[in-house]
Amino acid sequence: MSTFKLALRNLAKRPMRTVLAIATVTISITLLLSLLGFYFGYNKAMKDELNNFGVQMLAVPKGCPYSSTTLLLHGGVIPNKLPLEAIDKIKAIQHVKSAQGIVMGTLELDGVQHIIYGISPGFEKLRPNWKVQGKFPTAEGELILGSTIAKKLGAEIGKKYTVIGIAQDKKQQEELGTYPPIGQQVITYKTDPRELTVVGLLDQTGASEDNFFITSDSEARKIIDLNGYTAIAIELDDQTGSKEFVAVAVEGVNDAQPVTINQVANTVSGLIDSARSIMLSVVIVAILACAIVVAGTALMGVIERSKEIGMMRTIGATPLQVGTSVGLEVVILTLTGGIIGIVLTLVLQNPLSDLLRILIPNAPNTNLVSLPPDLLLLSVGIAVALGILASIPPLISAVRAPPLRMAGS
Amino acid sequence: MSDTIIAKGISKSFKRGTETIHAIQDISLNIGKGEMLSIMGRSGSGKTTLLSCIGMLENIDSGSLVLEGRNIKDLSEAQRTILRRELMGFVFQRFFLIPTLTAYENVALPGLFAGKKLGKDHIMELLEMVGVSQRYDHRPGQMSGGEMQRVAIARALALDPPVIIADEPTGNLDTANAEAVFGLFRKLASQGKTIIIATHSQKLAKDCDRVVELMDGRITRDEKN
Ligand SMILES: Nc1ncnc2c1ncn2[C@@H]1O[C@H](COP(=O)(O)OP(=O)(O)OP(=O)(O)O)[C@@H](O)[C@H]1O
Ligand SMILES: [Mg+2]
Repeated sequence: MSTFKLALRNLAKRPMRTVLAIATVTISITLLLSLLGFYFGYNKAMKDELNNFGVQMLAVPKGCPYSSTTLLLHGGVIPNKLPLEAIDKIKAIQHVKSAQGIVMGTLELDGVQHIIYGISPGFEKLRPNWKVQGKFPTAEGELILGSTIAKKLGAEIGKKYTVIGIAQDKKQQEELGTYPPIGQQVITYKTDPRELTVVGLLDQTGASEDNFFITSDSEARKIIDLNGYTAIAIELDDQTGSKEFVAVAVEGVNDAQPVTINQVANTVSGLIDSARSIMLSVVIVAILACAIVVAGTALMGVIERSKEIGMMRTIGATPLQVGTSVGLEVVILTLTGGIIGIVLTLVLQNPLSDLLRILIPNAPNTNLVSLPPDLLLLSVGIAVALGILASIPPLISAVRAPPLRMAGS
Repeated sequence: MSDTIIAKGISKSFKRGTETIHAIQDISLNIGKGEMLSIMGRSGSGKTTLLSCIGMLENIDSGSLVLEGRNIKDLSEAQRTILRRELMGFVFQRFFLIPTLTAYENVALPGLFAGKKLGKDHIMELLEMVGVSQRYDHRPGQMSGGEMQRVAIARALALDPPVIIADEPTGNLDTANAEAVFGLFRKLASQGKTIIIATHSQKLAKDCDRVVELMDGRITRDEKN
């Protein structure tokens, strides 16, 4: 006979009630873990992606918000441009080691839209993690494909594709600028078809470029009919103060605005942090609600068993022993619920990540829900803490139960 | 040698609304080792209250109570619980076995609270003695009233206490079972245990060494058989 066994028997006596209480804990722990797992996973994925960016600064068109900079990382159309001559002006700035123009836009292949990414020589430095089978595109008409899209198209080196670019109407651009007021539709037109030959295939990187069509910058400009750059990536020398110096200088270059990768990282973190407080309140409410349900269930059990508990007091149980047995019951309950919740979250990790990717635009391609061991351990701790919290009301009730008088009625 | 239980002028009253009920008043009673004593009296005469006071389940209002030489006035609540489990075994009219535990486990339960692991042989021996060893693996729901009461007696004996307190232990049993239970008490008394039984049965009370009768909380008769 042990206190543990006694607690188990009491739980087994009312299976339906026990299962419901465990289910409540399972739900709240699953919620907790999924939200925290998403918080850590998304944060880490974004940081990893930014760290893979080999330059320290970008020059983007003025008025272009940071969110557009993340678009640049993930693929999307920034409806604005830097003039062609900006690149030479930036290269001339002191402390600038190198500068590459980037062109980004939308093209259509067989009626399906894709992202086109135009790069100039020296681009390898921007993305040191890019591994290309074949060669980088240098001449017009050359194309490399991201691994996912290559697989989808069944592409191989030498294959040819005819694409059509999507460009913004020149007249609208002149009248309304490249940021038409909200609600105003961007008027686009299709450019003349161009034939591209696959010269290389990009190994999987786990990021957005797995879906890109990548060409030289001059080819990309022709496809989307853009006489300029979407952004210019700037590599700095490593002297102290370079960043500040170059930032000021870039402001003076034709409508360009400097954005450091750190700023982007901070913006992303800031967005996630504000989401975090909402997530945390949801989790805290769920855990508290769960504690109340479990406490109520356990209290009901104690009240039902008050005769039994009184009898145990009569035959020699101290209030502490009675309390321990009740507390143990509750902790067994929450711990079981917690462990089931952890297993459930581990099972749901990948489907959940896929679902979130659909809901969150520009999400990194790596797993968005990260469940490191210490997070799992923390949930076990929270389940136990929940049990201790929830056992307070039934415990008080049990400890207060007087020894059962004799026969009575 | 001094008596196992020495009660001197103990009283206990309850408040019910504005009314005060003097459940027992000024009771003095000495009970010796190995004595088998029955307490009789009409319903409401104070039998249960007297047993509860002697068993330290209820605190007395006045008077003194000395159990095996220890004055309970000097003890804290926790010390009383410990003394209770050392000195007393309890048998209830309604058995009060734990329904989720088997007969064997119910008998083992006092050991859990006392922090003593009771040996398997010891528990089986007790079940054997009360005559339900073949039922050791059954739950209370699967047993008859007589069997449940035997298990309850085995539980009361688990820690080998010198005193057994039983409140109407045969109240829910038929005549044959009632006599068997009294036979068991008789045997225990002959082994030196002090047995105090509240009962309504004249016939069974005759089997005891001594009969104490209560009326309105006072002793009106105290005779040896
Ligand atoms: N907890 C209590 N609160 C109020 N009154 C009580 C309480 N316990 C007992 N009494 C009263 O004290 C008196 C004695 O009760 P007690 O239970 O001791 O009688 P009894 O002789 O055991 O009766 P029975 O034969 O019906 O079991 C009764 O009037 C009863 O109503
Ligand atoms: Mg009574």
